[in-house]
Amino acid sequence: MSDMKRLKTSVVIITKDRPEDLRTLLRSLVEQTLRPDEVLVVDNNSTKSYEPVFDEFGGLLPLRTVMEMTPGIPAARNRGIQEARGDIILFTDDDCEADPRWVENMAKPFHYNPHIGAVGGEIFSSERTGSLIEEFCVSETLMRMGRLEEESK
Amino acid sequence: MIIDITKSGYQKGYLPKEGVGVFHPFFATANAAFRKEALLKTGGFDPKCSTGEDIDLSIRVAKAGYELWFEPSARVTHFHRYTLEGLLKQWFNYGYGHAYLFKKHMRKHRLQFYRYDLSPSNKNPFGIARVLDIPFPVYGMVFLNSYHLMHLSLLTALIAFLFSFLKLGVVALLTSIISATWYFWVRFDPKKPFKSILFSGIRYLADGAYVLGGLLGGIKEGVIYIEATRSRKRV
Repeated sequence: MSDMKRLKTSVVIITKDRPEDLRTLLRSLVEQTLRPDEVLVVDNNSTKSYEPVFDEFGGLLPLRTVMEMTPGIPAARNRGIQEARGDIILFTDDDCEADPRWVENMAKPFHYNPHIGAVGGEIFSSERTGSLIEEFCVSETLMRMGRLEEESK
Repeated sequence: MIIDITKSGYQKGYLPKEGVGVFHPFFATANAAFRKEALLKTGGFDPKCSTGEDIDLSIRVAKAGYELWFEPSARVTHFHRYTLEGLLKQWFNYGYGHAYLFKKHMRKHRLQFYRYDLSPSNKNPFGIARVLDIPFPVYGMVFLNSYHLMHLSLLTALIAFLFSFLKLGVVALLTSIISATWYFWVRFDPKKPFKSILFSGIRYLADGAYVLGGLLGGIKEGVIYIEATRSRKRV
């Protein structure tokens, strides 16, 4: 694998009116074992300002931001694909947080085999405010996923 | 509290290429990566998808000849943030949007019935099995589960009692009670009896929104589309 060209990674995040959530995600991207070559944030026509978040992370991440006026998730993600410069495009959502080895572990399989077109990872589920409905959502995810262990952190 | 999912429906490695009908292995875009070349070749996300654009793309990437690899060590945590209203809206939208997705990828002029089958012989990673596939003037998909059974048999019982078919009415009523019990039993947790029954109630409302969304989405697409959420007993 050492003679193989290292593939460049772009993390594409689409977001709308969730600057505080995005902050959590970007913070988790700063601490990656493999630094992404690019973090591209596609703002899908937000009314809330992302300036403070972009200012905070501009120096910490290879951050690029674009605005997509066409509403909708597919349009925003397609804009991200168009703009991204990497060989591998990693998607996550603005209400998620990445494990420190996320980029490294997502990128690795693409280097094993050129026929791998997509890699998916495990999605853990957590509550934000601890409301009953959120607790319900977490328990539903667990049911769908199979055996579970609860772990307090 | 972080809750740890230790086993997903997928095993580490290559995903099976074929699903059952449209129940195809896919990666949710909350945690998915694509080779840019595969995205360009397939044209990326379908703007006509209101939800399920990630399922659609996974199907097309696999059909274009690429492998899908599941890597459990690549983890993200998703923070849910819902109110009851938001939850019901979301499930309605899932049903509504999936009708388009199913129509796009399923064989035309067939009526297909599915159910949940968790026996080890079923290779579908989601535990989905097709029970019937018959010719039909338009496209149709019906997912059979206890949610539908309890309502259909209750309706049958009411009609039977109304027209004095007492035996049929009793059988239908019993069927309804048994399927309703099963529906709640799947979520019942003796460690938290009250909460788990409450969660079954929330699930019941969300299922209603999902089925209604699917029906309306199906009407818009000109197809019969009767969805149901899949649930399994805790293992």
